[in-house]
Amino acid sequence: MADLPPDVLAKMQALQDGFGVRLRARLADMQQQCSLCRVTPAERIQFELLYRQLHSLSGSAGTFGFTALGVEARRIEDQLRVWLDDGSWAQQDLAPVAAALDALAASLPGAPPAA
Amino acid sequence: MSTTPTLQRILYVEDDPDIQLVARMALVRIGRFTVQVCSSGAEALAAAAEFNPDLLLLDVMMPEMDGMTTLAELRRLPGTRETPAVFMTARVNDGDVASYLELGAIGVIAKPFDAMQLAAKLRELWQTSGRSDG
Repeated sequence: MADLPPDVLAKMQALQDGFGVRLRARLADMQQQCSLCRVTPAERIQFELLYRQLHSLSGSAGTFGFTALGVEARRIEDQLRVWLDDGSWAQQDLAPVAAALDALAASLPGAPPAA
Repeated sequence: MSTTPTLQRILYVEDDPDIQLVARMALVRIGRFTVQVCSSGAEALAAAAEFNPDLLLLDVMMPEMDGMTTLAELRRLPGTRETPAVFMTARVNDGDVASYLELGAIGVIAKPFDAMQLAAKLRELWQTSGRSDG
C-alpha cells in the first residue's frame, strides 16, 4: 500500500468518503423500509428488500472502513435470513430491528443524539 | 482449456455501485488489469463474448439473476465455457464455499474485502489453480 501512487491513495480515500456521505441516506432508506414491513407484514417482498439492503451494507461497510457498522448490519441481516428461511417473518416483532437500525444511524459521525 | 496463460482481462459482475467503484479502482489501478464491469448477470451475458475475459469475478447475491445462475449461463456461451471464475460473497461458511467450488469456481473472496489486497488475492487464486503468473 505504501508503494501506491498518491493519486490512487487519494482516489481510494475519496471513495471511502463518498460511501460515508451516502451511508446516512442508505440507513434512512432501511429505516423507512423497516417501517413499511411493520405496516404491511404480509408482504414478503418488502421484507426481502430490507434483507437485501442489509446484505448490501454488511458486505460493503467494512471495505470502506465502517467495520463495526458492517458487523452489526450482518447481525441484523442474519436474523432476517433465519426468519425468511423458517417462514416466520410475517409473525416477527420488528421493533428490535427498527431499534437496531436507529442505533446504527445514531452511531454515524455528526448524528443527532438518539431520542 | 481456452484460458490465456496470463491473467489480464476480468469480467466483473456486481450490482452494488459503491463496491463496483472501489473494486474497479483496485483492479485497474493496483492490479493493472483490464476490467469490464457489469451491473447484472444479463449485462454480463451480453458483454462476455466481445470482452473475451480471462477471469469471471462474480458477486453472488444480485437481484433477478444471482451469481451462480450467471455463471451457469456464461458456461453455456462458447467463449466463457471454461473461463475460470471467482465468487465474491459474504456467505463463506464451509457449505457455501463447497457449493461455489462445485460450480467450478477457482476460489472465493469474502465480503467485506480489503480493496488494497484484491488484485493480489486474485493473482494468488489464479496461480493456485495451476495457471501462470498474471
